[in-house]
Parts: sequence; C-alpha cells; structure tokens
Amino acid sequence: MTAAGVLFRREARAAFASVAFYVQTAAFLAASGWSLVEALRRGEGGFAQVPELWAGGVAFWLPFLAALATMRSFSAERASGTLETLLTAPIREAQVVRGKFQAALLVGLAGLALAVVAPAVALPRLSPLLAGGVSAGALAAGCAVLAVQLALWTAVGIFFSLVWQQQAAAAACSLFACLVAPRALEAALGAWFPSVAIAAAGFSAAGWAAEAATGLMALAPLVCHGVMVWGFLFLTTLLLEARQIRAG
Amino acid sequence: MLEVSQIVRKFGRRTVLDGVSFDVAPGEIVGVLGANGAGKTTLMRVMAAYLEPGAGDVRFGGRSVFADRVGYHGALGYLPERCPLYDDMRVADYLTFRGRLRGLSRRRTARRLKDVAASCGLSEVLRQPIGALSAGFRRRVGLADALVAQPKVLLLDDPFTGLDAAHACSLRRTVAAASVRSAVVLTGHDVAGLAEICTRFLVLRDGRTAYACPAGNGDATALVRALSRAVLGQEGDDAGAALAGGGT
Repeated sequence: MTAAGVLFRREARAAFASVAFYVQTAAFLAASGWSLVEALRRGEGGFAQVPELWAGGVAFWLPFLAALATMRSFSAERASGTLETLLTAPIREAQVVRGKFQAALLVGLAGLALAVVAPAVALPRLSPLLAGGVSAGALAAGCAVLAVQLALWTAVGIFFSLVWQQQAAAAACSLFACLVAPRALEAALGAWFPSVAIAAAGFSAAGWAAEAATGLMALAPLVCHGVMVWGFLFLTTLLLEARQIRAG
Repeated sequence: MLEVSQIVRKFGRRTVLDGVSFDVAPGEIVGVLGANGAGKTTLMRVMAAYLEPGAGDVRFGGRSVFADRVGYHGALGYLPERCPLYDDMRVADYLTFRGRLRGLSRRRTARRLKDVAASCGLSEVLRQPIGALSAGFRRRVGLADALVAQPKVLLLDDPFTGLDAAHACSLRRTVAAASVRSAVVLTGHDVAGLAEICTRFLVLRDGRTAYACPAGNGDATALVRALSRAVLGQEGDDAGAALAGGGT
C-alpha cells in the first residue's frame, strides 16, 4: 500500500469512529430532507420533478457537509504538532494532501449516499403519488453531479484547513468561499458584464445539479469543477511545502 | 554518514543558528546541549529536513537531505520536542500506522511493534488510547515511533524529559542499543544522564557552537560539571581544559 493509501485509511477510520461524523451526517440529512419537503410543498402542481427538487436542495447543503468533514484535516494536525511527524515520514506533500482529500471526500460521499437512499425509501411511503415517479437515471445523473460538486467543496475545505489552525475559522472560510464568493462573483459579473453573467449562470451549483437531475448533463461545468478541484489541491500542496519551510 | 555543515537559520531578523557544523557516524551518539533558546530544537528540525536552512547543508551518505527528502526520511527516526501523537488512536494502531507509513510490510510492522514495545516498556499499554497515557508514556510512544523502522539516523529532541529516573535509565539503554546501527543525535538538559551514553557533545550558545568535545574516558564527574557550566555560560579556564580533553 502506498503512503497516501496508509494515510487515507487512518484518516477515514478516525473520521468514521468519531461522534462528529454521525452528528454532521444527521444534520445534513435533516437539512436536505427539510429542503426537499419545502420544495415539494412550494412546487406542488408545478413542472419540476422530484429528482430536480431533491438535487437542488442537496446542492445547497453540500458546502456545509464538506466544511464539517474537512475542517479538522490539517488544522488539527497543525494545532497538535503532528504535522511535523507526518512531514518527516517518507511521504511527499502531494501524497499527504491526496490522502486527506480522499478520506474527507469519502466521509462526504457517505453522507451524500444516505441523502439519496433516505428520500428514495421514505417518499413513496409518505406519498403514494410519488411511487414510481422517480427516474433512476435522472437520480443517478443528479448524484454524479453532486459528487463532483462535493469534490470541489472538499478541496476548498482542505485548502482552508491548512491555512487556519482554528477549525472554526477553517470552516467559516470554506463556507464563505463555497457559498458567498460565487454569488458575489455572479452579482459582479451581472452588473459589469451581463453577457458573461448569463453564460456563467450555467455553472451555478444548485442550477447545474437540478438540471442534471432532469437528465441533461452539461459538460462544461463538469470540466470546470474538475479543473478547480485539481487547482485547489495543487495550491494546498504548494502551501504545505511553504508551511514546511516557514514552520517553527 | 550525517554531515552538518555551516548551518545558518534565521526567523525574521533573529539568527537562531549561525554556522553550526559537525558530523555523526553510525555507532556515535552526539549530545547537543544548550540553554533554552540556544537553537537545539531548530537544529534538530533542520537536521530532520523539516526546516530548510538559510545557508549551509545537511548531507546524508554524501547527498543533500533537502534534495531527496523522501529518501532521507525513509532512513530517519525523529522524535520532536513536543512529542506530538494522535490522541484518538490506540498505541498499537499508532505504531502500526507509522510503520506502514515508513514502508514496512504488514508482517514486519507487527514484528517490529513487538520489539519496540518491549524495548520501550509499552507492552502493557498497547491497547490503550494515546490520549489516556501519562506524559512519560507518551514520550515512550514517541521514542518507539522513532525506532520502529530501525532508522539509520536517529534524531531525538529532549527524549528523556518527563520520565522518572528508572525509566529514563532504561530508555537511555534502548537508545544506546539503537546506536549500534544508527547515527544518533539527541538533545536534553540532564547532562549527567546524557553523559552515560553520549560519545560526543556539542554545546550551543546563541546559535553557535560554543564547545564540541568527546565524552572521553576520563573523569566523568569533571566533564559533567564542565558541560553544565558551559551550558550556563559560566565556564572557567579549568572547565575549558576539561571540555577540550573530554573530562581528562
């Protein structure tokens, strides 16, 4: 097993053994369930399908799940000093980042999987009208897009957990970067470059997820998200190397 | 085997290490002494390739350790000053994780775990969470971690702090045994204790080498007295003569 694999296993085990994982997953399920119920109530009689409403609702809460899953990653290591022992083991900085990213992503994906299973089981029981009305293909497309978005928010969270030693500060910055910054950018583009803003609207997280859940999978946001994941992980690796030089 | 040459390290405008040079061969144990703030921990961090020096180099087997950190870290056992550990892990799990991270096979890790647990007095606490251990036991876990992969270079920053006299004596014997195949550098404040195992001493003062002397076969009491005075900066002419001759 590679060093990154060994680190991934440790991180994943530590996360799944912690109470925090179950609390944050329960909170995420409750929040996304509430979003779906609210969307169904408001959209009653409309054209929106259940997977579309579900994906749009879950997409909003994903940054919270990612922030909670990643806030400990590096900040706890820095605060306790274990980063020093980790970086004096035969493992490259990029492998450290990869191991931590994959473990945090797995934690998030576990929450996301539960958020798929729970409504799929519960909704037909709650409302017989919804039984058989959910297309599995549309649901799978929505899930795939949500997983890609989760990967991006996780990469952002990992980056900020290295920037900040305080977990709360890391989570707050991560949420700001995932929720506030894109909307601020969208608003600024809308004010100064309306044509660019219209093109960029297709990249909005909730809109893209909801659209995918209708069966229409746009490729450009997928590529864009993939590049941003890579970019944030690359930045984190650079920062880790710089931190190593400046530590002390 | 391990050559430290003209190391200079600054934090801001403050020079912490200023032209420190020495070398260590396998079988040698070099004790680095100095008052608080003399630069011992920074020197150990530079030697562990955790911090990069502003000038100078550390060479292992003729190659700069900063050119091939991962290769060097594969041959390194390092115990940092604060002895950082993962409190959520059990002792056995932690040492297994560290062994696997250092590239040992599962079987070899299990065998080494038994050996280091016996030599560091950890056999009875292997199933206990690290967070529940006393400071003394934590140090022993840190030392076991440094020894688990049978390193060729062993750097121990203040390894005997927080241990009672009996355990400190037992761990000194463990370090002396490890020095058969390793080049060992350790720091500490207990000059008399270090004098039992060290083959050479380096006294740092304000980041510079104030004295470098062999332990010698002469009057150990005189050497300890002279070193203690040198650390405090209160050496006289007689102490200087004792340090030059290694206690003779």
